[in-house]
Amino acid sequence: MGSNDQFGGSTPPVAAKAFSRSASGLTRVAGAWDVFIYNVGLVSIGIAIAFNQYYGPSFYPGAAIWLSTVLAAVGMAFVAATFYFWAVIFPRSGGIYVSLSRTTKPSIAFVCSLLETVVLLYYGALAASLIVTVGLSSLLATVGGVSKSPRLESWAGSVAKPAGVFWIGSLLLVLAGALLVSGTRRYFQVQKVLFVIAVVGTLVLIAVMLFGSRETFRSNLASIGGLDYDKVIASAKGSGYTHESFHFGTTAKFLIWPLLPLLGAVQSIGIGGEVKRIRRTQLFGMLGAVLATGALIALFAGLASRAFGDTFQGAIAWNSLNGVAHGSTEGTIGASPWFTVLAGILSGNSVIAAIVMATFAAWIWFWIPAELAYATRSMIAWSFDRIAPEKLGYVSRRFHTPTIAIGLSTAGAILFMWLIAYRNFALLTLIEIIVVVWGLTALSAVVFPWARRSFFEGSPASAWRVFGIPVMSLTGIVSVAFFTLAFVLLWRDPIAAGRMVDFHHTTREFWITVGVAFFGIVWYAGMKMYRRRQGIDIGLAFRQIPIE
Amino acid sequence: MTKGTAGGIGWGEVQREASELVAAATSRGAVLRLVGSTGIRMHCDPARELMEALRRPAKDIDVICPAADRNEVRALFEERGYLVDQEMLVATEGTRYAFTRADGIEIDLFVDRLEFCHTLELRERLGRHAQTIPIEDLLLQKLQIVDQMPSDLVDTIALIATHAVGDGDDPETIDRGYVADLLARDWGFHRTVSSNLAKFDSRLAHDEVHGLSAETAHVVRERAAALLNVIESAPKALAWKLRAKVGERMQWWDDVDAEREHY
Repeated sequence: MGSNDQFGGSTPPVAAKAFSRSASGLTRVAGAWDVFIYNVGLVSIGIAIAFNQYYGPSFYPGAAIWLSTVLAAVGMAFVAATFYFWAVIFPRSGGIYVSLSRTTKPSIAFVCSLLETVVLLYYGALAASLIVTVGLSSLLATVGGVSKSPRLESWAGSVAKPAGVFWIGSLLLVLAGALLVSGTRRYFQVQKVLFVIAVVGTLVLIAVMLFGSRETFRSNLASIGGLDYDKVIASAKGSGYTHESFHFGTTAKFLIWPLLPLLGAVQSIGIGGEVKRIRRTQLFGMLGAVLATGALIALFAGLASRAFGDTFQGAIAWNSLNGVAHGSTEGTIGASPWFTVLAGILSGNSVIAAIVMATFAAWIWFWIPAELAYATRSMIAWSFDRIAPEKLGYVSRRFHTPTIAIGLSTAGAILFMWLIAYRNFALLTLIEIIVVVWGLTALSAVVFPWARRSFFEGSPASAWRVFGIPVMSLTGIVSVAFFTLAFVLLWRDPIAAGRMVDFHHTTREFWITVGVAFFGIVWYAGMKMYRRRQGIDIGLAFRQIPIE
Repeated sequence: MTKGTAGGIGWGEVQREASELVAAATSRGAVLRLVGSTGIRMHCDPARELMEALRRPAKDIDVICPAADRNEVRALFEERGYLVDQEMLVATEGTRYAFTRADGIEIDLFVDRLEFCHTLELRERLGRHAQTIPIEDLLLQKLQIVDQMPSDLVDTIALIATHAVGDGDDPETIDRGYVADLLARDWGFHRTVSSNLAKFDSRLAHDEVHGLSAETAHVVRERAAALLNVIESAPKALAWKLRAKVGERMQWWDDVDAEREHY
């Protein structure tokens, strides 16, 4: 749209429809590249590659990691299409809360959104902890090993201790919160710069992987890592490690690992109110992020296989995870054998090793402010719907940003940081909640064209049809099927997640879920009563669209 | 007196309130200037008289201030009974504010710049006129609109018909050097403004502006052509030339949300 009649031009009459809101002639902040970078950052290629190459060859013998990644990316492409339709129908910030609150019960939407927020704050904290362990500690250890510096190796051990993880991780969370407080424009600018740095570093890493031979790696592993390539494999096999040839079933089972980071590729739904030219931008931002990152992560699986060998990667990670003496890098250079460490050893050069590690740290960083931003938008949407106190939407006169919501998000993430550092709180099982909540969002997309027919017909999504059937419903069906598969795989896989609850025991994740859901229901009922006493019907809010 | 459209507020009330706001801000040491159609009306009597003759009503009050003064200006508005739009606060993060008052007067407050189809940086130009932004900027804010509404055309005509195009610091002359220099640095902005100026002939020929005399239409055509000539002949910056190579294959303006969206 190129008109801006806020200076007095007349507005053409428009027929009133179910949802309308003054948009007040605004220009939005986030362009196509901003959204693409936001989503790519939330995928976090660094975390994806680290997890894939650490857990894949070690615990999923026979899995073709590249194919698992492709399968996850294909599934997520349908999810991206479904979320894209939600984003163009409700071009407002607030994530799944916006679409669920306008299509299901507001109470259900709030509880789902609250659960999502808690989980995403946990993952923000997890990313901060990974920067310390996978990024900083590995960097110090590998650069220390390559440059023969015992002091750096000692620091590597120190920062990976609980106090190091907590304080450095918390500092990163505070930095991310401060970046958001400084404004969305600055946030996007900083992310662009970091994205360029991360891409350049990734190109360096690809060059290292392409030009580094297996023989070079074996040699550097002995001289830098203090390990013998064949003995690592032998010691792993001696403790129960097996390596098998390609097996499709195992490949399918492993897809939940690349799925975890790829879920981030659709999270620009949370900043819909800040996106320019929403149809084109969200399409490029969501589908582009899924396809680009899926391809890149799969590529690295192939490069790692070529340079290190699948059997070796599986063996050294097996030794690391099972504490096999003298079988991993912990005992020699003081860091777990993450992909970054192996790549640094392959490079045999402290500068290149530092670039590789810094690149991974940069990729992981993207998660932190993006998760906080997503959570903040949800909180503000609750506030404007009067489900949460108005203070959550308070905008500081000094910083001109919603400092209370940002502060609350940051504080919540720091709480999780403490649990991660001091209570060994590693709960990938929480991803099951995201899968359920987003699956519900996809399910509501299936029925939306019929349940809210007039509304759907007036939206841009109605133009997309196959044989008269709305594409939104079709992608929704595939997304629900994909999330159902992912949930079953997660539920049945104790390595990745496992059962939250069964007849014999309940997990911390289960109690977190029940506790948050219970709190959400009680909170919603309480706020509804409180607002009624104030003479406010909060149901009226759901006839509008939440915040810009 | 022309009646306004918002809440039945008349031009007299809008004018009085706008003048008082600018004066009150000045007395508090803050800079506040009028923009938009209210700014055009209050820039000078001839422009106001022509807008009234063309039945162009006042709608609301649009103002701009430097970033350093925004908190002071906001406090002033709130003291005068205006309520700030909380949702706009969150969405624009201090770059823009919206206020409403029980009597129906609405204020849009911009900070440092006007950001619409194209961005007009005004922080360094706010002190050039006692009440409004300079005449060139009032004109450019209308010419930067990609899809000009008839009302925007009326505003543009009111400005050009009542102000000569020339050089120098005369506040009542459209400084063609400033306009040409600004557009020589931004191909997209240049593309939109030159397109709008070039359309004058056909739009006036199609009698899009009712009540405009032939004599005034002639003056407008002449001045628009003269301004366009200066704009086109000005030497262009490297960035302008590079962007020109891409041309219209890439969108050259920022999208602006409609005043009210329906879904």
